[in-house]
Amino acid sequence: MRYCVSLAAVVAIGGSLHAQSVGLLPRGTSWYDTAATGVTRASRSPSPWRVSERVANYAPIASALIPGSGQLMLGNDRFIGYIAVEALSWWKYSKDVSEQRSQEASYKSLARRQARSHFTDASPDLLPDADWAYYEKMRDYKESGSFSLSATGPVIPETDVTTYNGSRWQLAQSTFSTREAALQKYLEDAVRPEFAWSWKSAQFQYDIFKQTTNKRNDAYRAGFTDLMIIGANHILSMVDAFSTVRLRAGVKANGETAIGARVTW
Amino acid sequence: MRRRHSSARRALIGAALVIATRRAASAQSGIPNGLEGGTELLLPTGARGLGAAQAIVASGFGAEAIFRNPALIAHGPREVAFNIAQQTGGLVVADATGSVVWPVPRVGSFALTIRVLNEGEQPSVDDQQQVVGSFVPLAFIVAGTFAAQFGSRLEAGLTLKFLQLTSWCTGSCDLPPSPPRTAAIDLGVRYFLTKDSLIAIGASGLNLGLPLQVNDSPQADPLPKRALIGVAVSPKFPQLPKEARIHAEVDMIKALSIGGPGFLFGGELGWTNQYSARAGYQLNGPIGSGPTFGVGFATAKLHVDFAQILTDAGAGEGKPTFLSLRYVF
Repeated sequence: MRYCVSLAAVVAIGGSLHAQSVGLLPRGTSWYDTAATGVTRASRSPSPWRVSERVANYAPIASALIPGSGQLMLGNDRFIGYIAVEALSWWKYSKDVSEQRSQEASYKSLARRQARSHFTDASPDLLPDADWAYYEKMRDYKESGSFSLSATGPVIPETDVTTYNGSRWQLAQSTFSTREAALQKYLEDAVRPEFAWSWKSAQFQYDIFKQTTNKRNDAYRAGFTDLMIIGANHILSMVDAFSTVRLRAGVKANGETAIGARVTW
Repeated sequence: MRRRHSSARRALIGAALVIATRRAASAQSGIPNGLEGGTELLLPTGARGLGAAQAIVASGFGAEAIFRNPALIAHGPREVAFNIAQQTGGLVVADATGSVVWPVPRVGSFALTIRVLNEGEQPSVDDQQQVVGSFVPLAFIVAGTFAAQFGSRLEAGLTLKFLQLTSWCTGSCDLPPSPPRTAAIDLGVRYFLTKDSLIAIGASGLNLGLPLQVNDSPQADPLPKRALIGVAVSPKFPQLPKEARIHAEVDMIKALSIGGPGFLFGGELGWTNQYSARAGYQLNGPIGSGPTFGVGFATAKLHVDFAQILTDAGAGEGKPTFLSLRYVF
């Protein structure tokens, strides 16, 4: 970024303003033409261009793929900055993804051992996993409630509306006009016995469960920010390389690369 | 979006996403409500283009064209633009966009755009539906654009933009722990088919980015990705006085992965580069279907444009109105 600011700082101002067209057309030659057409590198550069035409053409693409690589091809030291940002961002991204996975494993384990273990005789580790929607229900409802109030025979829906299944049955009854239709909807939405849970008498663990899901979200957000920085770094590096190629570039007497542009005013 | 917590968080999400989705995405055919997040990115701005039904992907001009096709700033003067919009149904009470376009000869044009959307004060309620405070949902969009000419006919550009949803709260508000934010890229090209620039084609891909997470990461919503392609013509009729100029464009817009296409038809009649009249019609466009119109007045440096949309967008209340002020130098 510092180098980009430096690049902007070397822009000199001069020139004049012509009448401007309001609409799309006509497109006569104007001072603000941004095409490089008709301007050879030799005519732009007070001194010889140090890189080959081919390298110059591929530098922006290279920078878009690997930030800093185009700058390296063009002989600009600022490639270090882009590579450093890229490397640090990927390192932090992997760290955040690892944290996200760790938190996911943590809340799933907590749910199995504290909230679901009452409903199985086998090891809680053998309980089936589910998608986030399931764990979200577990976060919002302290108990799943029974799938059926009857151990045998037809399903009799849960009636305690403070439980998840009870709330589904209440919703189904208020949505559908017939009991059959409501029962069908209940069977689709209700939590089955193998997924039943209860945080009753485990309030402390319930709070930890909710905090862990929040930490998972925080880790996701952090990883997301990392990806935004990585994307911006790629684009910035590409535009930088492209501008460098198009700008007047040459070698000063002391061997340093000089970059400059002129903006008409 | 999925079910949410009570109070202002639910309202924020409802206001900032679901309502915006209803306003924008659902207006395009076949796109169910709530499947996209960050639909603020779709809300139109810029009276020049809106007067012509936003059919500007090949013929847009200046800062306001950035959100349709970033390549369109590759050839143009320096410009400072300010756009004010009153969106449909009064859901967005304030929509202001400020832009600066700065061309660098032989390199490309750079632009910086900042947009603020204010959705107005809304009550914050608790689980018992008691009002416990109020909050104002806001959306900020910051975009950086670069575009360049390649030869005399081809222009290409890209925009990197950031969206952040936030809220001003008074009293008690159950807001998301972190402001939802995301980033997206717009890509665009324009090509002049004829040497005299009478026919141009433009294409762009908008809002290519990561999903927007409001609360829980598995429920992050995909951005409203759109593809646009359009053809613009500027015919020269010998019957017309030389001071008059006319151009027309037809665009097709398609939501990527879901929904059917929408079509935008727009035209402009200008006189001595000072006065302009625009009209258009959008069919399943980003903000519904219906006619649009606009007028413009320009001095050497100051350009003022006005547009109104007569669409079936959103709740159908009010007519979206847009005012653009541009200073070119």
